[in-house]
Amino acid sequence: MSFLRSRYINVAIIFTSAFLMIFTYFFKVQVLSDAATLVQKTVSLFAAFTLVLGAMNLTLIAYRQVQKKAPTAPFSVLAIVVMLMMIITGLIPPLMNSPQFNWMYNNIQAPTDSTMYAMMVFFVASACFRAFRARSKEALVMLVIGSFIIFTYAPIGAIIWPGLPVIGSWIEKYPMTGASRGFSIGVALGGLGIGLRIMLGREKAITGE
Amino acid sequence: MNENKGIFDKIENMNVRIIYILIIICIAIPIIRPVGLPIQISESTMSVYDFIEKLPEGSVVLVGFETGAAGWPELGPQLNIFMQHIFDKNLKPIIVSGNVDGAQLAEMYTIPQMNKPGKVYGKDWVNLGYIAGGESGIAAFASSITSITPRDYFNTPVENLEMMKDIKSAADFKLAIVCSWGTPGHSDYLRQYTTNFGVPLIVGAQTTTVPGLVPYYQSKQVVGYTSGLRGAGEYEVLTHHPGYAVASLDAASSYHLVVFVLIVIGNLAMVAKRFTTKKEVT
Repeated sequence: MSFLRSRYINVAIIFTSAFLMIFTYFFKVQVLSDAATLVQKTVSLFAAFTLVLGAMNLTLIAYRQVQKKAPTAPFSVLAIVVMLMMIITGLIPPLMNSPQFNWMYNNIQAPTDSTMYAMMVFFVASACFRAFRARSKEALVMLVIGSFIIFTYAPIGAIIWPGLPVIGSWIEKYPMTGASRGFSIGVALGGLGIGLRIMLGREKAITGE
Repeated sequence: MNENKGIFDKIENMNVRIIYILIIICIAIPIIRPVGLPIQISESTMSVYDFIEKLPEGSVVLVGFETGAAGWPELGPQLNIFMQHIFDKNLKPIIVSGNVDGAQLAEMYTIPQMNKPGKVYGKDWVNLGYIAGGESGIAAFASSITSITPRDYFNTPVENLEMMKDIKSAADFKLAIVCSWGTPGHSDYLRQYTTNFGVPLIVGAQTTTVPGLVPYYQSKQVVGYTSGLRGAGEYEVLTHHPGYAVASLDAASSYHLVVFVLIVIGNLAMVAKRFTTKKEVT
C-alpha cells in the first residue's frame, strides 16, 4: 500500500503521458497515437468535471459566508440562487437551449458580462491620463510610441497625418515584434525546462509532496 | 505664481468624474450622428480576405467562437463578418468553442443575423458545441472529431449530420478561424491544427493580443489577422456588408482622440507646474 501512495506512481503517470505526447508528435505509430488521443480525451473529461467541482466549491464558500453572517453573505446567496437557476433552466429540454435558459442568458448574463467589460473604457481613459506622464526619458519614449499605436488603430490617425499609422505599423512590425519574439522564445525555453522537471519528478508540488 | 501652480495642480489631478463625462459625450455624439471616417484596409486584414476568397466552394472551415459575452463587443463583429463571408462564398463552417458559452453565442447572436438563403443546418453548417479541456480537448478533437464531440450543440449524433460524413479529423479542414479572448487562443489552435495538421489559421484578435500575434503572421504561420473592432470594420468594408463595426469606429476614433488630448493636457500641466516651482525657488 505504501508503494501506491509513493510519489513514483504520480511520476510514472506524468512521465508516460508526457512521453506519449512528445513521441506521437514526432513519430506516427498508430497504437501510441490512439493512446495519446485517449489521454487527451481523459484530460477533457477531467476538465468538464472541474466545472462541477467549481460549483461545489462556490456553494461551500457561500455556505460559510452565511454561517459567519458576513456582510457579503446576501451576495453569496444571490450567486448560488442564480447559479441554480441557470443549471435548472439549462436542464430543461432541449438541453441548454430552452426559452427560459435563453431568456436568462440574454437578459442577465450577457448584459452584465458586457457591462463589466465595457466599464474598462472609463478606467483605461482615467488610467492613461494619470499614468502616461513623461517623468523620465524612458517614460517619454513609451508615451510617444503609445501615441503612435493609438493612432494606428483609430481611423482618425490617418486623417490627422497619414504618416501616423505608417510609423505605428513600423513600430509594430519591427521593434515590437523583436521584443515579442524574444519574450516568446524565453517563455518556450522556460516551459521546456519546467516540463522536463515535471516529467522527471523534480517538481515536488506536482507530485503531491 | 502660486495661483498658476494651483491651476496646474488641479489639472494634473483632474476629478475622475470630468474624465468619465467627457468619455460619455465623445462616444455618444458619433453614435448619434456618425461622421463616416474613411477606413484604411490593413495588410493583415487583406491577407485574411484574399485567403477566404481563394478557397474553393464547399471547403470546410473550422470557426472557433472562443469568447464569452464579455468579449463579444470586440470579437462578435469579427465572428459575424467572417461567418457572413464564409456563407457568401458557399464554404461550410463547423462551429466549436472551448469557452462554455461560445457555441451558445453563435446560435444567439451570429446565425440569426446571417444572410444565408437556401442554407440548411447539418448540410451547410454545423455547431459542435463546447469542447472541454482547453488545449488537450482541442488536440483530441483535431485527431478524431467524434471522439470528443459525438453529438452536436442540438444533441444530434454527429454521424447523422450530412456535412460531417467525410469529416473525420482536422486534416479535412481547409482553414481554421479563431476569435479568442484568452484560453484556448491562437497559440493553442496554431499548435494543434496548423503545426500538427497543416491547417491554415486566421485569427480575429483582441487589439491587446496583437503584439503576441504579429511574429506568427510575419513567419507566415498565421495567414492573416484582424485586430479588434477596427479589423472587423475593415472586413465589413471589404465584404460590402457595412454594419456594427463600421458604425462603431467613429466612436472609437473620438474616444482615442480624447484620451490622447487628456494625456497631452496632463503632461503640459506637469511641465508647467515644474517650471513655476523652479522659478519660485530661484
